[in-house]
Amino acid sequence: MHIRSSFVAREVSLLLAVLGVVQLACAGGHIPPSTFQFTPVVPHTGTGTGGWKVAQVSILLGRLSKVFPQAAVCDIEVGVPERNVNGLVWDALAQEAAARASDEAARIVLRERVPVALACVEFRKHMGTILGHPEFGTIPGARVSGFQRVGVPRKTFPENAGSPPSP
Amino acid sequence: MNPELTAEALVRLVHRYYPAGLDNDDPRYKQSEEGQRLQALIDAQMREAPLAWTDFIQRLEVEFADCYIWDATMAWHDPCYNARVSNPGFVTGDLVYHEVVCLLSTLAPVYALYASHVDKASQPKPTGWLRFPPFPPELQAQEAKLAGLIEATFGYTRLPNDILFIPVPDLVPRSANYRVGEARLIDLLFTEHRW
Repeated sequence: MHIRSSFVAREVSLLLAVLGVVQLACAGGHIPPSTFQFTPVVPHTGTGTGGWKVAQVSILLGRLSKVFPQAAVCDIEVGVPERNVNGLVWDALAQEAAARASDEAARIVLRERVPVALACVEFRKHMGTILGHPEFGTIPGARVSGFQRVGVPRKTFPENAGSPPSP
Repeated sequence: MNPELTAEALVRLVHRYYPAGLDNDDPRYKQSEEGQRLQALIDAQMREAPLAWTDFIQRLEVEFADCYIWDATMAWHDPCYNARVSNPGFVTGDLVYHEVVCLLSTLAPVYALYASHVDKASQPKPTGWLRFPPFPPELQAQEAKLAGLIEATFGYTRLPNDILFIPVPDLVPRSANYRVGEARLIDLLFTEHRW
């Protein structure tokens, strides 16, 4: 009996896990925090606010949802201060916040059925709002745009989708 | 007002730095004569902040000694210098605070001020606002002092709201998440990233 219930529990867990993945995939995929690797571009000096670091990611929209063509790519540059009004912006915090914001932005863009031509702009706009909005943003001063900086290592999501063009 | 700083003149001016009718992810955007002109300006700004600006930040730290000063200039993104002055007594991590923000254009000798308020302690959810003049009465002394310092230091002219928010629908700021049709003069002379 014990063996049977643990088997059922395992099956249920597996089913829930699969459903979770399917749901996330339908809702815009789950972009892991490690996708956002921040590189310092403006050194932080002194003890006040300042400094700047960025992460660049090419997100393949077609791999997030079949709503988009396979070739649709969205270039995302996330910039955050090294230190803001809340104190030091640790890489781990910035990565977590960027991943959450990108997930939510993807969900909004998919839910609103934004045309492909507008998808990247809307994705970045929502992500920037979620990340840096004065009311509910997690990182005051954060900014989301297309690629601006050259020479910053670029990652791709999903990672197995191939290398992005060199900076 | 200086004839070179009228709304019409400023709209003409920004057309020298942004290509008309192109989104900023269009390859022709940066290749255009206007895009190259803006890039040259930004490259110069990136090399080194002018001494006048770094001196000004130091001056703010003296003049607003009990406030938090944040040089939030993003030369790579915006053709402007940007400083944020918190409310007196601000301590890092405060949940409720305001900042008076100044933007100084690198395209023309003009500036803008706005106020940013955050209340993360508000229930049931955090609140906040951005406000252009008139500022709430409790911020007006700080606003006047900052404006006086900018004008005395740089001789810049402050732009009123009706000029700042003139639509310039054929241009798109360099790094904004905008499409053709959304921009206003403030986005092009300074930045669309206001927070």
